[in-house]
Amino acid sequence: MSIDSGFNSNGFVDDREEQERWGLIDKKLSQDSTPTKKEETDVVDGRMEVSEDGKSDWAEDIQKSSIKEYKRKKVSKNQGFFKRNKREIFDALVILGIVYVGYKLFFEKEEGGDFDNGGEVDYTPTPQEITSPAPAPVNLAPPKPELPEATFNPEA
Amino acid sequence: MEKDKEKKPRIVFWAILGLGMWYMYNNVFDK
Repeated sequence: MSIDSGFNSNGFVDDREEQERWGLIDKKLSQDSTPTKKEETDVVDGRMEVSEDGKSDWAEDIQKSSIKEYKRKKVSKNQGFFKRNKREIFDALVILGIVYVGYKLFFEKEEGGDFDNGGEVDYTPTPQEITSPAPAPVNLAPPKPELPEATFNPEA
Repeated sequence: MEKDKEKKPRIVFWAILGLGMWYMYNNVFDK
């Protein structure tokens, strides 16, 4: 019995297969590299392509992009006030809500509290019933004592 | 660069906040 090593005049079979595989890879790589080089030379030729109208590519591109931007702005203008300023409106409402809730929780005066007037004394007199004094008794002159009739006659 | 961007003035925000505070000063807060 002997081991079939596959060795012929050019060497072992495995070696030859390996060489062919690498040869194919080399070939592919060399084929791929040539067009890329060509492209690169196309890009860097320093010439600007100008169409028959006299407009170059970059001018057309700029025109397209500006038209796009104009349309986008036009659309955003037609969106409406609320949609455009949604974020700002909600921010303001949130802050107002916080102020309102804070006031209601901490600063609101309770109605009917003990110190409703804050310690101030009300000096306005409360209306009181003025009892009318009893009519003063009319002091009539005491009755004159009856004097005896004057009977004295000095001439007599 | 973000630093170079100018901040958009938030006019709507301040307008709504001002109006809201004015309303609350007149109708909500005790005086």
